[in-house]
Amino acid sequence: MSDFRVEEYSTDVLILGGGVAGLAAAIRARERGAKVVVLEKSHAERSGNAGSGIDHIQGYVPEFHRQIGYSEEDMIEDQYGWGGNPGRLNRRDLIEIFVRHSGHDVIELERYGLKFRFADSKLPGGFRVVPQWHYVPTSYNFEGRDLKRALNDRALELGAVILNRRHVRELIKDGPAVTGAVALGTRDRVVTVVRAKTTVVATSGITSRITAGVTGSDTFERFAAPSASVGSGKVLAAKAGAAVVNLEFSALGSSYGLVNYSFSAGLPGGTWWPAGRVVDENGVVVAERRYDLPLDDPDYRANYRRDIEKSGAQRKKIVELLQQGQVLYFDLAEATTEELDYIWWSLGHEGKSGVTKHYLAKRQVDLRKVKFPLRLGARRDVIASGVWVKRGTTETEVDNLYATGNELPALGYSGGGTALVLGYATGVEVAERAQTIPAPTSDAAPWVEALLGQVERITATRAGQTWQSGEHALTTLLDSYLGKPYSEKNLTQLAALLARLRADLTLGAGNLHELNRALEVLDLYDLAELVVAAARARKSSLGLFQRLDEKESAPEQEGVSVGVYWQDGRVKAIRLDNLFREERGDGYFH
Amino acid sequence: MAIFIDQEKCNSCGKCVEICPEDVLWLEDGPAWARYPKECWHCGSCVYDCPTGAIEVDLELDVSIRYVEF
Ligand SMILES: Cc1cc2nc3c(=O)[nH]c(=O)nc-3n(C[C@H](O)[C@H](O)[C@H](O)COP(=O)(O)OP(=O)(O)OC[C@H]3O[C@@H](n4cnc5c(N)ncnc54)[C@H](O)[C@@H]3O)c2cc1C
Ligand code: SF4
Ligand code: SF4
Repeated sequence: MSDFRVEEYSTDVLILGGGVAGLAAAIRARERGAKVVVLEKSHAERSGNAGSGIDHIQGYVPEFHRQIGYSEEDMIEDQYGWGGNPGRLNRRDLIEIFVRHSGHDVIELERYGLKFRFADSKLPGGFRVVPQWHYVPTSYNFEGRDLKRALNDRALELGAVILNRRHVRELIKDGPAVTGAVALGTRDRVVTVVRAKTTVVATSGITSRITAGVTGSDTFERFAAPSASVGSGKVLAAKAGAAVVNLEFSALGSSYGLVNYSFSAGLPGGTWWPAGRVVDENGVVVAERRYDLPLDDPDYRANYRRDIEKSGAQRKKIVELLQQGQVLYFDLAEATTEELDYIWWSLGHEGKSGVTKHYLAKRQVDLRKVKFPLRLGARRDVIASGVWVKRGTTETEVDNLYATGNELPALGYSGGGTALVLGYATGVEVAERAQTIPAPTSDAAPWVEALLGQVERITATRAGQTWQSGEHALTTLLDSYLGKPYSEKNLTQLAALLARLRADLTLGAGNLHELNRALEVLDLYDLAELVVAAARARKSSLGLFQRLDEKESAPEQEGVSVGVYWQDGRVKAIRLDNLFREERGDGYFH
Repeated sequence: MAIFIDQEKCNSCGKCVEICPEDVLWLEDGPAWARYPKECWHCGSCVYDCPTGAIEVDLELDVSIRYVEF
């Protein structure tokens, strides 16, 4: 295995993950003259959750919002209150950065050739704006299928160095500061060392591969991009000593979705808005379809709010009926021809729903004539989790380490819009910071050796367990504990079982592809350790985080985030306050 | 098997192999092929980017959207 070539780079700004946020950061940092290197595990043109497109993006829409009378403050308030995050888990400071810049940053995408204006639009500016579930309608519907390519091309044009097929495995540390990273090639036998003045984790924050996929039949059939769903940014940051907050899987009640399908398509109220409705087996309408409100309605805001409240109540009702054993269907029987055209258009721009569109079209499915069965699905999300950053910035508490995009915590609603806008904000921050720091000369050898040691162990074990088996064992174990109310007793049991499973793990790999998958699985085990520690550390029962052995918590627990990180090989937990009412409290755990 | 590559249409340009985010597709001598089909995310990128329209990605039975006709 020592046949790995080592290549070295040195830069002002190093970005880990060439997703929406990583590329946005690269663009702004280059615009400000900083040297930029991006390490991307897949290929930045099509990698990450927005790889094959997004069809809507959130932002303040000046022309439209001013006409109705929505201010930026209204949008901030709405985003802050949203996200099913009782207990004020949202970070108002980050939401403010997003909203205040979004009016400019989102529409800037037009400059890269993405289409935002449509002749049939009745809105000022010619935009298509969909409400989804917000009190301030804030999603532009747009032609975002090639968003990633547009950002990638722009970053390259500006001179960013994008190294694709580089799986980041280690952060280099020098005293209290992060000074770069080490990556393993996924196509070439190469170890890439990048020394950097500033380093940004931007790997999407998604951790869904520690639980089973929605269909249960396939590791890879899930909503989010599998390669970007192992939470490696969180693991990297936590190992460097940066706290990752709110990692425990919540016990939040039920939601519903289409059978055997990894998206809900925002039913009703998302991509298929507003034509979708829900009916029972006799065709009785349980949730009505929605209609656009006329823009000249003097009571637009009040009526719109009522509309959203109504659809929220209907969602609750759908869950209740399903819990009672009712049979319900999503149904488009009332959609007009124009609306159906709109739906097909929209599906073609939202990532993998393009494949669904193809599947339905090939079978000549008339969307008005079929019905899609709805079933309850338990939500096992990691709510509001992310790498903790200091107030009003995207800088972590570890020197020269930043986090951006969906890697950030508590944004209320993490999506393409927040990824883009906060990515840009980070790009500006790190370019400025880099000017004040000398080029690091850290010794990277310990990190390269650690990686090669890991590689050696896996490849020497040719007859070892497959990565699929390692991943399956973990998801099965976690699925039997997480997402349910828990107590110290059963978390202790889970921690012991997890440690045992890890000790039994001897992953093997026959080639570079399998080796990189095996390394992903190791990240999942590390992540699981953090998740369990986080659940044990929260000594309160509030909102999403319900424990059987704690009383409903006092109000001062509102806005408390539990952070976890590694120190000298042990997980530490701390208490952090989203409202910044006090300084961070150490010693929450252990 | 959800990825079909038309062996006649494929000109071995390598674009799909270059961009596939899950490392599913491979190219040696001859047309591209799906080496790790079970790791396909059904993102559709290869279909969009193939210059000759050689690729079709279909949802497999175990992951396809379910509907009923009345
Ligand atoms: C199917 C689908 C549809 C969506 N539709 C919409 C929509 O219509 N509107 C909307 O606003 N949002 C949508 N989203 C959400 C949106 O795509 C994400 O919020 C956004 O992509 C997040 O940006 P990010 O930069 O934080 O992460 P990503 O864009 O996911 O990028 C993360 C990057 O990090 C890379 N990476 C991961 N680990 C490593 C590692 N160890 N080393 C190197 N690189 C690594 C990944 O390969 C990836 O390129 C959708 C998501 C999905 C999955
Ligand atoms: S659909 Fe996406 S994941 Fe599947 S082979 Fe094509 S590019 Fe790769
Ligand atoms: S992109 Fe199309 S033509 Fe090019 S290698 Fe792939 S299948 Fe063949």
